[in-house]
Amino acid sequence: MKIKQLLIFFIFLFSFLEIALRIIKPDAFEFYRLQKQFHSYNDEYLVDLEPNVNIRLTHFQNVFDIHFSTNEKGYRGTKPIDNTKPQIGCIGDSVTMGFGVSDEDTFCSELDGFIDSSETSYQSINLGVDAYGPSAIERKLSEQIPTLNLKLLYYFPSNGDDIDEANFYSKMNNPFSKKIFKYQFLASKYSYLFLATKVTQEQLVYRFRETFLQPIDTAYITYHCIMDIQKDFKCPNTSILGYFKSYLSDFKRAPKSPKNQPPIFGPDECQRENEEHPIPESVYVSTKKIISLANKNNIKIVLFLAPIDIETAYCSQKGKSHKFYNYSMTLKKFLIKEKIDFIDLNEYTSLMKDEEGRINARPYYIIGDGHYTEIGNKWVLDIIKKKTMEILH
Amino acid sequence: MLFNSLQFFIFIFILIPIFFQSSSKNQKRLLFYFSLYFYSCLKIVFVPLLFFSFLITHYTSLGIYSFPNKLYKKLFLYINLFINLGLLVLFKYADFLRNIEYDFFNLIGLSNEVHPESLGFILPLGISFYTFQAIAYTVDVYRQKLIPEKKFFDFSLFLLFFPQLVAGPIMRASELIHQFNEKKYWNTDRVLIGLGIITLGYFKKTIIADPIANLIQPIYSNPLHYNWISNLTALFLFTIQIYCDFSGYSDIAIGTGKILGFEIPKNFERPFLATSVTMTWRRWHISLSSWLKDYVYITLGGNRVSPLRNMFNLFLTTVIGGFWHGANWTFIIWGSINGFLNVVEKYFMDKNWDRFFDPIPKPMKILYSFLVFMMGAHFFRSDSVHSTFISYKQIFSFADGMDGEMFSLKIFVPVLVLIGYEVLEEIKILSNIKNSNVFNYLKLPLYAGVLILCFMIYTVVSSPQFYYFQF
Repeated sequence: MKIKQLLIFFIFLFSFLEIALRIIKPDAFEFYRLQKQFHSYNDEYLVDLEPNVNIRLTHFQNVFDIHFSTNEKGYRGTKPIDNTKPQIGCIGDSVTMGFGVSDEDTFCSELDGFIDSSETSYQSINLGVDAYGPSAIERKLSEQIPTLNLKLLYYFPSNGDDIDEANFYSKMNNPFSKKIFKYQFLASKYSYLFLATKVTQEQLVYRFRETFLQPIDTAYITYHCIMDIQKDFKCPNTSILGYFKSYLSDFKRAPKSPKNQPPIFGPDECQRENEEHPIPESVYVSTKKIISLANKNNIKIVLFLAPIDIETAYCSQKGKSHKFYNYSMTLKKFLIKEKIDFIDLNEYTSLMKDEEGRINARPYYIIGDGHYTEIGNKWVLDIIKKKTMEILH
Repeated sequence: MLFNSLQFFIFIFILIPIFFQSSSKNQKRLLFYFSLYFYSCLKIVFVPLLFFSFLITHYTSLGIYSFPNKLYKKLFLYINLFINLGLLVLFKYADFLRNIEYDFFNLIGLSNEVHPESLGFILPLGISFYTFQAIAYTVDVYRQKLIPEKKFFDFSLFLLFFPQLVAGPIMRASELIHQFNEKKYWNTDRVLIGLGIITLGYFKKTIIADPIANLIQPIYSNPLHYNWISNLTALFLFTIQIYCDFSGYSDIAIGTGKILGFEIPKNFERPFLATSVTMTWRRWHISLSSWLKDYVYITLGGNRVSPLRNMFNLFLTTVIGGFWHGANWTFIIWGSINGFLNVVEKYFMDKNWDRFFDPIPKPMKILYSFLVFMMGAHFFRSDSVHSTFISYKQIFSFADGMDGEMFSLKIFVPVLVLIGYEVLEEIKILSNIKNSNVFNYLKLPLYAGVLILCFMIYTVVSSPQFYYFQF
């Protein structure tokens, strides 16, 4: 009897939650669910984009509100593939795919219709998919290049590639993990409840850190700084009176800072010297494979090292470098050694200017995110366009 | 700490087992320290202010009680009122009053040219609630209806008690203090009832009020860009939002109290099913209405004065009720509209003219009360009188414009569920359903379902604050 009751309890509970979620569509989950809807499972490179998608994606905190479409082959954008035209391909992760901007605002889509010196018009093809590392890219290119008419390929390696690679191989090298990933991917795609549970579980860890561990840390640091106890962290240059004043200032509303103010970081944000970033061997191997694949198919390939976070851009603008830049810097050494054509976009960050003409990276990045805004994509586009002119004229 | 935060879920899960394992004395201590922690999490800077108000209230009330001389009693009462109301005015109304002063002198041509800068004070959370509660305590002592608590700890627990601290209900000492002295035991039936009330509260807040707030925001920011249907729908939805937000908070407070063994009186009694504006006000924010009645209306003379003065008292009390909600002309107008309607209805009742309305079907009366409340609620939401009139203009001129994105099942299904629930409760069928076997089977998964849903939503995104926190 008790088992029966328990069974009824859980059946009703799960059904209620699944139906309720589908009716009320909470903004936070809907954002993740829609993203899941335009992704598909792929046995070769784990994740791909679904073909023929056309959805509106609104960030749950109204950070952006965009249209996301894919064509018949699952490439970002609506234009069907036209192999009668020569093509310029862009491949990389979410930055290339254009997370947070509409189809027409990704830098790759804006290359569409590029006309070279012989008046030939090119079609641009966005092969980017979020969370792609070099190995997934190499596999996808091997599969897709024969079906396309690519003449030029822009590849955007990214800071997080080492993590993406580790995740990729943890699944590809272990059939059980791969199977689990497949089932959880499909379950979270088709069950709202499963997706909500997964997102909640991921956020719970973050929330716990933010809600409980950070305040303890702050209290610990404040106490040690006030009491001037030996410590291995830096204290703000503040007296007890300073702390008291800052306490009193809490009674007042903080003045509203105007939109797109230049970011303010601490003096230690930008390092003086770069350090090597350990890059997994598979990144180098896959990068070489991507190059040789392009060469074999007579495709000119150029790599772009992009600052995918505001901190890196900020430090680059100050003529210094951020620790997040270490990955690009290490990869850059490899590219130079291998004589691979690349452009370091970090060198162009001084072109990031706001409406008032100040050097300011703020409007170029989605707030709280590492992705480019519409204007950020334009900034990348301007540099790519110049390179494209050089190559195709 | 907000009721709609991850912190609160953990807070309550830690408190409950320790609370019921403790002795009566320790239960009080636990409630005190947990309440203090609850308030500190909101903004620690306001804790000293809170205790300053408590200290003043405690000692002036003891003074009133101890001194036989009426003059001294009055002196202590005025000190209490001056300081408590002074703090409220400083933090809540100072900027508004300075603006009025500036506008007035500007009008008569004696103005300085520079508009006064905002003092920029943050409104201490719960100040409107605990100030009224503290005043009620002192006035009750003054009126010899209450013997003040001797110990500061016992007194401050009454004001600090976390379920009602930040957004009410505004409880009276006679309702609450005696409950702290009784040892509380775990009672599964009572806990289940409390859980049911909490579930309803979270349903109202998370599933109805918060999504509505997001959807109507663009329309209230720019009513001129939207057509009349969108403006009207936004107004309807805002009325539902404000009800669900505030009554949702009250429900969570009442349910939490219930689980811990405390009886917190109902603050809302299905106000939108009332058949007159007067009845709507009697069912809306009951603890505030009864506070205003006891400490403003009666102090002004109540109905023991001439009919005209009585009408004025009623009007003024309602205006004060409106002004309590916020330092803006919009709230004064909102209070005035409702005050005027209350006076008109009272006049009709006094003359026994209300019998002419008897043949009108009840649903029509409900519709009238709701529509009147809804139209007034516009002042409640708008930032300025001007933007309220823009919106009214859009509605009444059937203006064209953009369509708002509000017409979705995600909003209207939960709203209809709530309306159905309240109607069943109003016609007294709900209790039969609640006693049925089917409901007994399903209530636990239903409560669990709603609570899990809310927990998941709060984990992923910070929910907006409760609307009444700004009061």
